Amino acid sequence: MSTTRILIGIAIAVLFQTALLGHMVWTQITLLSSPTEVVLKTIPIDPHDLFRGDYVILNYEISTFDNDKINIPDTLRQGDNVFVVLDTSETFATPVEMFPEAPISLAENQAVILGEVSWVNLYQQEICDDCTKIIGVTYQIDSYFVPEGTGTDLEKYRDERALGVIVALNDEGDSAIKGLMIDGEKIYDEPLF
Amino acid sequence: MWPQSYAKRVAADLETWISNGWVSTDNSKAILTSLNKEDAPSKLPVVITVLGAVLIGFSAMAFVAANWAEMSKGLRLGLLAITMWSAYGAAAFLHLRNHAAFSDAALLIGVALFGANIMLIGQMYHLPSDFSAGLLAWSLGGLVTAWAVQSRAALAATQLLIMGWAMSVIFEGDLHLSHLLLWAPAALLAYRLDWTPAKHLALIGLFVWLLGNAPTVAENIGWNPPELLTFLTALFVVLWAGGTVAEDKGQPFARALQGYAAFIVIVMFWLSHLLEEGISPNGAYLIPLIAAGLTPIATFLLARKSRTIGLHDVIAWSLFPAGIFATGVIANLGTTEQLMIIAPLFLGLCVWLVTFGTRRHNRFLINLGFAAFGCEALYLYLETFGTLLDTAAFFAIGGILLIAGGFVWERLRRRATTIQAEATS
Repeated sequence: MSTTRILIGIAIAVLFQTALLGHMVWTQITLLSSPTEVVLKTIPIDPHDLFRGDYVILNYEISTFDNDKINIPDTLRQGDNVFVVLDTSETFATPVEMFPEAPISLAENQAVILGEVSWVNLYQQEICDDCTKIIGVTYQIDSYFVPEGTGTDLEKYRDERALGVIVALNDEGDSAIKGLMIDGEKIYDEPLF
Repeated sequence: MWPQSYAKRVAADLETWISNGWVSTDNSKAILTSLNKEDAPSKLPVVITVLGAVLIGFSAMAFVAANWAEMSKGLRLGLLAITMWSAYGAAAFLHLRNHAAFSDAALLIGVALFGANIMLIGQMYHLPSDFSAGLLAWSLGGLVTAWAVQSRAALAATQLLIMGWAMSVIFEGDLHLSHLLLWAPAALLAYRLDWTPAKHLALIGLFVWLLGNAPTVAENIGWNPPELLTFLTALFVVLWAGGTVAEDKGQPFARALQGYAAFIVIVMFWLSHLLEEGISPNGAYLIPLIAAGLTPIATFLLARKSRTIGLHDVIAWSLFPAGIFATGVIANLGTTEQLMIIAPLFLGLCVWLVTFGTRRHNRFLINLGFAAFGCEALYLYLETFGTLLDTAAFFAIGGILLIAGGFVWERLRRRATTIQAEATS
């Protein structure tokens, strides 16, 4: 290859990679700038395994559903998208309904978040028609990198079940973490830049 | 400059060689002069400079890491971009200075930094932990670099990344058809650059993808392990035979294809020892049965295109999938009966593989045959005699057998490879 072609090739590589990284950043900034904001309560599964250094695995109250509390569509299977409608009138958002497709309209004080069905308790469904059906749902907000040395402090608040995650949502239900809240007070606010 | 001891020894030898008339006096002087001459300028200052640069690099990295949390996101993004651009700038600079190898190394660093940037931006913005999506983005960046600059280093790194992407998707239990969209351009570039390591990586990547997806496909169509092993073995036996014919036709990379296919066939065939489930009773075995039945026809047709492949080779190839299917049929009868069929067949095919490799002057196939035979003998010993003896006697006899077996085996292997070497020369 000639020198000119090599230099053009390097320029193409740099432009492509920079564009890809820029797209990642831009997508997230656009999402974080969305005016729709909800606070989701986190619940600990196993406090001893929750923190990996300064990396937090977040598990939400809306990570598990059973059909005693909310109507779970029969068509939902593992790996399917699910749209959870949230009531945002209280400090912590609570689930109202769930759909396999995006809802056409939302009532006042409602927002929708997109998740993926991570597991379905099919075994129970097979042995009886009216048993409790339970599903697990994961969201795009399953991890949070906390400032160095603050992981243990957060764990304490999580045990007290007072930790909330402030989540930005767009119209399609995509979600991004904007900050953390303890007892109604923001403790981390994620800057865009 | 050579060590003095070496120069003295050469000087002493030269006297003998001159007296024997092997070396002239003039040549002797030239040799001694070259031994005592200083080498090209010492590379030590360059090495020290590089080490110094590495230390400064580590110092900068540690400084940035220590202040990372305090930096604003904008500053962090700027640092990440400048670091990546610097690597590519260095690649361009080194190319202009005619340091092609260093330029390629800088490109590789650029691709590595692109991956690091994906991870760090993901961390900064708390992106969902989607490992396979990250690897896909990284692979795309690497592939564009490899194609745009025709860089060998970037290509090899990209091929490994594509393989990593395939494995991460497959481990999540998904069928991974989109792999080919990245694998194919990478393989095409490997052939375009005519670079053997990249060609090997292309083949390995394809086989990893094929074998990785196979269990998911088998599950979807209701195959039990014996059906899956039969089908895959039939497929790779035909690839092996095809590679053999291609080698006879002078195709340059055909020998490598043979080697990989033979290795996979041997591993598949050995795995049939572990079958606990038999052939499924739901009729899903028809396709693997047809594949096993078509193997002799396909290999026979291929063998007709080559004078070096005999009927006994076609029979041996056909026995691989047929043997696995038969093992699957009798799997429900019990382990001992299964072993009585598969073990002698495996050992016999190993012997054939050694003779096949010897005839084709293929050292890899010879060694594969010996290694497989040895492993099978060890497996049979552990499976059968081990249950009859107490622990001490078990290990003592095992040790003696291993030493004796290893000795005899090595002698046989050397004899076979010597015959092969003599035939080649």
